[in-house]
Amino acid sequence: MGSQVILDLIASSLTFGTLLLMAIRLNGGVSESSQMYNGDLLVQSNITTVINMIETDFRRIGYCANPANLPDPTKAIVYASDTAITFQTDLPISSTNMNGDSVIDVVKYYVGSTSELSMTPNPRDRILYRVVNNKPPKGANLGVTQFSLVYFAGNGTPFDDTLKTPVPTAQLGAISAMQITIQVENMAAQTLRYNTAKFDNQYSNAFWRQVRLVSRNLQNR
Amino acid sequence: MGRNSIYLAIGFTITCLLSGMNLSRVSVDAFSNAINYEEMSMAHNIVQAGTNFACNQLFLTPNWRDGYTNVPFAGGKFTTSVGFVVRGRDSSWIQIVSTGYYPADRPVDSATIKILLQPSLFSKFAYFSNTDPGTIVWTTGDTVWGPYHTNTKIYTNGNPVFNGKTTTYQGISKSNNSDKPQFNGGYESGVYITMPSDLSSLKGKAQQKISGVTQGFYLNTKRDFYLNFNANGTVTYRADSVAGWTTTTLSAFAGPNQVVVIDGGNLHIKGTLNGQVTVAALSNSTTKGGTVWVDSSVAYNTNPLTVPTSTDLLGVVATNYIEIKDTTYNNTAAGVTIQGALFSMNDGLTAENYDTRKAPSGQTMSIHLLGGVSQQSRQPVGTVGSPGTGFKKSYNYDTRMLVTAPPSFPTTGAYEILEWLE
Repeated sequence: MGSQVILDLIASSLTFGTLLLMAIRLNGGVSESSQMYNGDLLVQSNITTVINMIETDFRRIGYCANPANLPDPTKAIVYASDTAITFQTDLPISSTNMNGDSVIDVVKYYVGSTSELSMTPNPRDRILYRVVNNKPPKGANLGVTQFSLVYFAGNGTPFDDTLKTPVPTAQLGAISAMQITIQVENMAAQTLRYNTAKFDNQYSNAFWRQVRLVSRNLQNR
Repeated sequence: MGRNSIYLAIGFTITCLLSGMNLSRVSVDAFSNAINYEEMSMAHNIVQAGTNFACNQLFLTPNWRDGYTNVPFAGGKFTTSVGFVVRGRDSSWIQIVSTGYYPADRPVDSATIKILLQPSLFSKFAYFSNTDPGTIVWTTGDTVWGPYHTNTKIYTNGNPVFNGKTTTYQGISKSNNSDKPQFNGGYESGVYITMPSDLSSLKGKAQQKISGVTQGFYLNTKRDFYLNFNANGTVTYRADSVAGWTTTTLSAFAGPNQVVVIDGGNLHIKGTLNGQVTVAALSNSTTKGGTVWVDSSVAYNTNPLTVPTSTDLLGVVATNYIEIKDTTYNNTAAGVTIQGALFSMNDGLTAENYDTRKAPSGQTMSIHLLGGVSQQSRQPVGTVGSPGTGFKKSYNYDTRMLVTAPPSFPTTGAYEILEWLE
C-alpha cells in the first residue's frame, strides 16, 4: 500500500477513463453513421417508390383498354401546371394485371403546402397527393420537397417548345412530352456531432429528373 | 490484468464487427435499391427500343409479322411478337407485345409493352388534301378543329388556329414574316400520306360473299342511284330517276359489311341516318359516274354534338366530286347540313353553281359539316362579296373519328398507334 498503490489507481483510472471515452466516441460515431446510412436508405427508398408510382401512371396518360371509350385523346390531359397535373387514363385492374378495365379514370397529382407537415423537423417536406376520380386525396409523407413539371409541345416552334404554365386549355392537346423533377429529403434532421467533416447538409436528400417523359398515347393521332 | 485486457479487446472487436456488419448491410441495401431501379429502368429502356424497332419495321413494311426473338441489346435482350387481333368484324388491327430483359445473361428484371395499332384511316382527318393551291390560304379567324394534313404546303396569312395535330409534307408558307399560325395540337412537317389510287378494297367489301350471302350492296350501273336515309333506321332507294322507290332496313340493305357501292353511276343522298354505313360512287373505265350528289341535308339521327355516345356513322366516298346539288332544299338560309366523313379521291367537296346560286332571301348560306373532308384538292363552294354566292363554311370536327370510323373507310396503307400500354 502506500504511494505505489495510489499511483496504480490513478494510472488505471486514467487508462479506464480513456478507454471509456474511446468507447463512447466509437458508439456515438457508429450510431451516427448508422442513422445517416439508414436515413439515406430511407430517402432512396422513398424516391424510388415515388418514381415508380409516377412513371407507371404518367406513361399511361391517355391509355384505355378499349380505345373507343376515350372520346378525344387530345383531351387526355385535363389540367397542367408546374406543380399539379390532372389526366385521363385507365388504371390497372390490379398490381398483377396491368391492363385497364376500359373505364376512364381521372388522376390528379399535386403537392400540399409545407404547413401540412409542420410536425416534422424538415421545414420543406410536403405531401404528394394522388387523387383518383375525385375520391378523397391519398398522400403519404415520403419527404417530397420538390415536385415540378415542365411541358413540351411538338408544335414546330424552333429551339423552344416549352409551354407556359398553367397550360391554357386550348393548348393541352399540344403536350407531347414533359419533364418531371422530384426531390426527396429526410424528414428528420441529422445532427452531425462526429462526422461533420463528411457532410455539410443536415437533411440527406435525393434528386431525380426525367428529362423527357413521353406518354405515347398523347401524340398518336 | 492480462486476462481482462484480452476480454476488453474481444469486446471491442465484437462491438466493432457488429456495427460494421450493420453499416455494411445498410450500405448493401441502399446499393441493391439503386441497382434494382437501374436494372428495372434498363429493362424498360430495352423493351421500349424493341417496340420502337417493331413499329419502325411495321411502318416500313406493313405486312411484317416476323417479330424478334431474344435480340441482344444494351446488355439485355428483347422479344417481340406481332399479330392480328380481332375487334368486332374488323380483323385488321395489329397488336405488338414486346418484353425486355436485363441483364441478358441472368435476366432478373423484365418489362413489357403492349401496343395496339389500327390501319390509318382518312376519316380521322378534319381536313386532308393531297394538293393545296397556293392561292387558297388560311387566314386570321380561320379555325380548324381536328387533325389536318396536306401533302404540299400549308399556306397562311395572319394567325389561323389549328387545334388538332397538324402535319404537312412541305412545311408552312407564310404570306408575311409576322404571321403566327397557332398549332394547338402540335405540328410536324415532312409527313407524306399517300392518297389511294383506287378504291377496290371498298368495292371488294361491297361484293364480298360469305356462304353465298352478299356482305354489302353493290350495283354496277351507268345510271344515277338515289338513296334516302330515314330516321327509323330504314332506307328508301331507287335505281334511277324514274324507277319506283323501295324501302328496307339499313342493315338489310347495306349488309353485314355496311357498305354501299354504286359502280359506274352517280349516287344521290339525303335524309337522316340511323345506323352506320359507308356509301360510295365509283367511276369505272366505261362510264363517267363516280360523283356523290348531296341532294339535301344528310344528318345523324342522334347528333354526336349533343349526345357524344351516338353510334350513327356515315362515310361518303367518291372517285370524283362530292357535290352539293343546286336544289331548293339546299338553297335556304339554313344552308345544308352534312354529318359524316367525306372522301374524294380525284377531286373534292364542291357545290354545283357555287358562283351563281343564292338563297331566295339573299341571305348567306353555309355548309354545316360535322366530320371531315379528305380530298385530292381544295374546291370552291362559294364566292366572297356582299352578298357572295354559294356557301360559307361552318366545319366542325366529330371527335369520335379519332377512335372510330365509318365501315371500311379508305385507309392510308399505314398503321397508327391506337393505344400504348407500358
